[in-house]
Amino acid sequence: MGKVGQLYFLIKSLFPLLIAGCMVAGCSTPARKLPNDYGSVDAYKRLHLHEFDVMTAKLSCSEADSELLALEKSSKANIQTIKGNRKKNQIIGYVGSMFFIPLYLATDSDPETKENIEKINKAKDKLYKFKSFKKCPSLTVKK
Amino acid sequence: MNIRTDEMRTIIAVGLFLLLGGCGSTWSTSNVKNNEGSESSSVSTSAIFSQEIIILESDIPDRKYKILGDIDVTVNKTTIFHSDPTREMVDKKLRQEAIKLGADAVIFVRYGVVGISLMSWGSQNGKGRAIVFSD
Repeated sequence: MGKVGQLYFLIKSLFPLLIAGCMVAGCSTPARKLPNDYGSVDAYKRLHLHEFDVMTAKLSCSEADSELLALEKSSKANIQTIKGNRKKNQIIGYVGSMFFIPLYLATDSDPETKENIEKINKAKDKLYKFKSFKKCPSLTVKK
Repeated sequence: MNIRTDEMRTIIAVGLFLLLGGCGSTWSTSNVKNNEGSESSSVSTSAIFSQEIIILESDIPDRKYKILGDIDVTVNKTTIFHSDPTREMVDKKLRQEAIKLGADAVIFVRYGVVGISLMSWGSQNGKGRAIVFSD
């Protein structure tokens, strides 16, 4: 087998490992599901106060906004942690898939950080829902 | 050196992919689930420019609106050497899809976490609900 043939064999045999590597090393997480329609003119379900816990039900619009800001800050910090590990993961993933498979053990898939983000997102969704119920003024600032 | 034709083809294909990979830093996919009964062809005047489209992570409770559809987009980086897709790129893609639907805004915008996917070394998913104001 010539050098080109060896290269071809290498690419062919490493492909499944590349895919396996993708699954191990810091996989992307899809955006969370969109909520049911409770705000449009055609919404068949309207929100009721009993859908919220006591703590949330007591909040004013500005308090809900402050909580959302705090959650956003915390979310950004978690995302930064994942970003920090991504560079390392990509280098390890690349080198691991090409030369040394056990390197995958050194990757960090940040399960705890992703779990934190998920919790924050759930809390944000609850507050968005509450703001809709209270008919709080929406933020007019465009992104 | 004895090179088989299919080996040569594969090497050329890989070479071309790597070469063309340098042309664009990202590529994206999108999926729009139209709301039943919505008229996606009627483009409202406020949505002519994509920057006009409001992108919000929350609802807009103080205005009446109709839902046009749910948008799901994914922005991918082309090669491992390009920089990761950002939320701004996801917003841009959501705006593009919202224009096609004739939306005034995209609400409940949410983002996934950037990471490796089967198709890319860096993928970011985003979702949002395209709406048109009715007041």
